[in-house]
Amino acid sequence: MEPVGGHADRKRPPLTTGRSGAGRSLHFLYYHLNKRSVTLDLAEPEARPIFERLVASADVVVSSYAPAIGDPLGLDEVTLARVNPRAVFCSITPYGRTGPYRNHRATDLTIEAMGGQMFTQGEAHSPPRRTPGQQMFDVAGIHAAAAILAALIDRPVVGGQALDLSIQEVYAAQNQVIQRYSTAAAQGKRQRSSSVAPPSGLWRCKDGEASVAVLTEAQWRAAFDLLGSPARFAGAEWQQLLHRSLHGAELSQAVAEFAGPRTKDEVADMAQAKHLPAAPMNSLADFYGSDQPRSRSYFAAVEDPILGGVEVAGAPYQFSEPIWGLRTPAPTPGQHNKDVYLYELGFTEADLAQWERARVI
Amino acid sequence: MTDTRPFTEIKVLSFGTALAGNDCALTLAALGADVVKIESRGHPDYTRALRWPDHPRTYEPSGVEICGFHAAVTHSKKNLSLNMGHPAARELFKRLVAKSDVVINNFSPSVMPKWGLDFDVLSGINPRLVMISMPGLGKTGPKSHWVSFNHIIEAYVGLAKLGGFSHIAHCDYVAAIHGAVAVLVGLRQRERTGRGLFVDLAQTESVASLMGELFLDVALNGRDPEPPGNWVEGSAFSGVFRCNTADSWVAIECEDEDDWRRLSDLALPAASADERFETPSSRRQSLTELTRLLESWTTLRTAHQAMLLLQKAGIAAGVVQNGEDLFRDPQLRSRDFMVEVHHQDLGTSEIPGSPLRLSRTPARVRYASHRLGQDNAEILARIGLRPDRVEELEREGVL
Repeated sequence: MEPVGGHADRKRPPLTTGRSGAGRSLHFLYYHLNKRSVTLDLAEPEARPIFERLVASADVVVSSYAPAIGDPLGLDEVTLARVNPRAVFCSITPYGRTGPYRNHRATDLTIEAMGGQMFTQGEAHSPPRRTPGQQMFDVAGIHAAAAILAALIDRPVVGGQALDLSIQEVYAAQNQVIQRYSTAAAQGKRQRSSSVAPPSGLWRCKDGEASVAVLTEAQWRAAFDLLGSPARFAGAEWQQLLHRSLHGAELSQAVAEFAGPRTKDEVADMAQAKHLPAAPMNSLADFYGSDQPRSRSYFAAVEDPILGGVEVAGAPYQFSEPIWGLRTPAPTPGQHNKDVYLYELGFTEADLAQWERARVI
Repeated sequence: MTDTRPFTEIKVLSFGTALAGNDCALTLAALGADVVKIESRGHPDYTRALRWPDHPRTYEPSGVEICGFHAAVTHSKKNLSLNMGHPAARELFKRLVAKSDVVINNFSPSVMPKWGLDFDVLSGINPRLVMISMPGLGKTGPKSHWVSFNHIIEAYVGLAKLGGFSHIAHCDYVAAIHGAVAVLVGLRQRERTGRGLFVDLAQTESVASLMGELFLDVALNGRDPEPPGNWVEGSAFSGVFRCNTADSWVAIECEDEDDWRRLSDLALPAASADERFETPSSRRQSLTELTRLLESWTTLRTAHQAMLLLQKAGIAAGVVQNGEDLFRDPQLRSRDFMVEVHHQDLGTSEIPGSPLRLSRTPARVRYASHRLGQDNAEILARIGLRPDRVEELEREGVL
């Protein structure tokens, strides 16, 4: 459901550039695949009967309005349950529908901060660093989907329900931040791990870097082997993390000689062949072209009316049955007003015309 | 109080280990499913040894180690000890599969087939079985054999280069919740078809799916996204700013020009007239100077004061909360988010509840983590084993 004229997210960056249809939100294009669009101005009194008929026809209603904004529009669980007691009403908000912060403004950045995830990210003497993209909000949405599915499984016996999902709580539940403080009054810091010794770390290659983990004794032997079994590192003392830390420069030299002439993919492949945890430090473009996701057909094709064939990040999980699929591109605003309001909900052409004139839809 | 509903009838056998596997099963357990965690006494879950540096070593009576990290991801689950290297244990597992709905594992792809327990075999025993595997790079493909953990996944998918390695287990949690959704979708599909199915979840692909718009930038614009730092693309202004004590910070984001004007009015008196700060991109260019100016306001206040003042002005702001902040957070406390658990070996502590607050069937902490093998008798009774037989199997090292 969108406001009349389309949601502001249609302009949310990153945007398409150049090729026909510049200025369209990539965010919108991706997150609204497979969805239909109806427009409705919920603030208009005339919208009420439309809204109620929509809700009455639904299994699930999802809202991300803060209580102060959504409740006056009738998007609260009491009102919705009256209209459709069998629907699962899902409210996703930054802090939940109750509590002193319930009407705080939030973005993905500020929620990452408040959820306790940001404090330990980044370098010790730099500001805490955020996770790229909009991943906090996305992950909360996936949590909501899990709860909704569970509620639908129970619906025959339990009936409809309301889900009050706080994005902050999704994150506050992670990484034992609360437990650690509760049991030892201790907390994490931004710092380099002290249990990591050379040659573990980033290896500079011809075309970038590879991350190689050398943490256990078995992994040291594998790394030794990988580097060509140089006699100077053959002594038993090199198995000790402390010894390797003190002689980091010599190890770095050996790593540079090995990795410098090779590509990051080669280095990672050779390391993995010896069961060393390793990976090229890929950019997103590197992953996009990489053999592993491509061999699994991870990137999926969808046909967009303006852009033509588009390849997008695909299924986060692959089923052995044809369940997941990209059927339609992101819709235009109100593209399905007629389908939904006229053909499915039984309003009339006259109704629609009148509502369009009044900008209710 | 009995809680009997379709969801509580769902029987899950979980080999889930580390964070991704344990947390996937945990979501289902918290929602009410009957979840059995299967561990081998010979190779117990390595999260048992992941104690924080400030905690003493703790052991269960049987001698296996236990710590808060492990207990936090294994609450609400029963525990069955099966020595999977033993053929008799694998037979017991197959008999349990016949009476279960879901099998979860996040082993590398060779493990279940090596035990003769891949999906072909298990669905032959139980055609209604929903089985999920969650290896780092996927079950198929030229790199499916790769040794992987969080670090490797972040590097390979491009997240580490874009934003640095996280010191948190971001990819694990993402894979875990995707896994839970996939299992639930599988169960719903089963209601329609009468058949189970298999889910192959590559942790790299699971986290890549959260960066869809960034991959479209690659695919459509031919752009390879650059590390954004704390600047949010599309914002009028954003960042993380020092407050009045060491290592205290407030995150601020102005989503549009109205927000920026209110921020300027509140905390940047010199900024609104300054043409260096006229547009979002010019603010990004002058970020060092703007940071200096804004910090002359924020460093006069605690992070909480800064947040509340900004919120009163209608601007999105949040304290960069550390463990103590989270523990004392009035929002979390007002919603009773923390739950007190009494653990047999670790004592009493608070752990987070579940965020899945359904009004009638909320996900919750049902009971504290069970000891290794604690529920052997109860679980094996489901396949007709008597308690004395269970003891015999324990003595024989099958359990």
